[in-house]
Amino acid sequence: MSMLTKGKPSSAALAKERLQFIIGRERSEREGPEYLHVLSRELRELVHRHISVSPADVEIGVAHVDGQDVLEMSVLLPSKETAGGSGAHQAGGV
Amino acid sequence: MLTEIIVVTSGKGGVGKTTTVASMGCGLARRGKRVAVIDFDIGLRNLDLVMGCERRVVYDFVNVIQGDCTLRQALIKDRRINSLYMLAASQTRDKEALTEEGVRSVLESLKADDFDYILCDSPAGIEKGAHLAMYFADRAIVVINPEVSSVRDSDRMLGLLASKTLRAERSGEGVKEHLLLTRYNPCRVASGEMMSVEDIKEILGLDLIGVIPESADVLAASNAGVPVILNEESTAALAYEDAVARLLGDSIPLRYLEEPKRGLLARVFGG
Repeated sequence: MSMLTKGKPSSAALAKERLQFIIGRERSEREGPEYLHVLSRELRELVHRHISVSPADVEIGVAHVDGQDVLEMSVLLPSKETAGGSGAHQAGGV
Repeated sequence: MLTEIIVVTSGKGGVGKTTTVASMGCGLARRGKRVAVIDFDIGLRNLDLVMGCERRVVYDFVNVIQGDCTLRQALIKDRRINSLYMLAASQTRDKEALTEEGVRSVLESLKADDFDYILCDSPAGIEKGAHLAMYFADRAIVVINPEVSSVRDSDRMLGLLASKTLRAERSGEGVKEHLLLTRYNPCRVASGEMMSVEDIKEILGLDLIGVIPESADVLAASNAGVPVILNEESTAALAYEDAVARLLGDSIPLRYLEEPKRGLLARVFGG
């Protein structure tokens, strides 16, 4: 069975990753300290000041990884043609 | 002992709340505890069917609240286990019939009648019935399937338990929370198709009070109106029995987390 799934993550691993992201975000909205809201907003403003990306391409959230809360930020950079960058990159792990 | 009110909730429907209430209620009562199980799903009564006493329902929860009968008249005594009683949900379409004051007074009467445990079977969703089922709880069992929508909804319920309950409002502590994972299939976990116990614990940051293996016995039990915990040969029954022991404070390891070992005959004949 492991041969079939080799090379790509199992569907269970995908489910876990997606849940950790969305639950982290929902928890931080619900119960996170006030600074997280402010920090998220300021980080978004900072990104928009320097890069021309749509709001949907900036994801900020708190994930629960190995028993610790981790602030995760992912920015889908614009492609080379539109902004002179080097293709779409994911900048992760703040 | 003091009466403990336990809500069994999940957010998502169809994950095994009613099955859990019926089996845990039986399990606690079999250990000599005086137990009342209450169906909070106004308009969609079902605990009576799973408990197998649907023909004996004369009065329901709303009848008691509205003074049509006494609580004693509405409580249905289980015919298998002496100290187990059930209060049926009303079939009324009027969801407003269940009031906070009414629920409070029924729970207070049960406390005064020396019940050890009151198990509240919450409706799915986060509307009034679900709110009232959890509002007076001391503890909560959040039932989860190893599936994305169920896990996400359960986290939402954990948030509500921590804020929208009497305990949270009074002491800021919230209710004591337990997770119970149902429909667990170790074979599918091994092949990477299903999230594992460890995954669920990590995502939600809570320990599990029980893991119930996926089993044909669960459907057979509700078909028959005999809570699955009473089927001594079922792994689901033994897993529920373990969960009852843990609820009472025993610390015992989880079982049935691995693929069952196939015997030689099964391997030869592909059974």
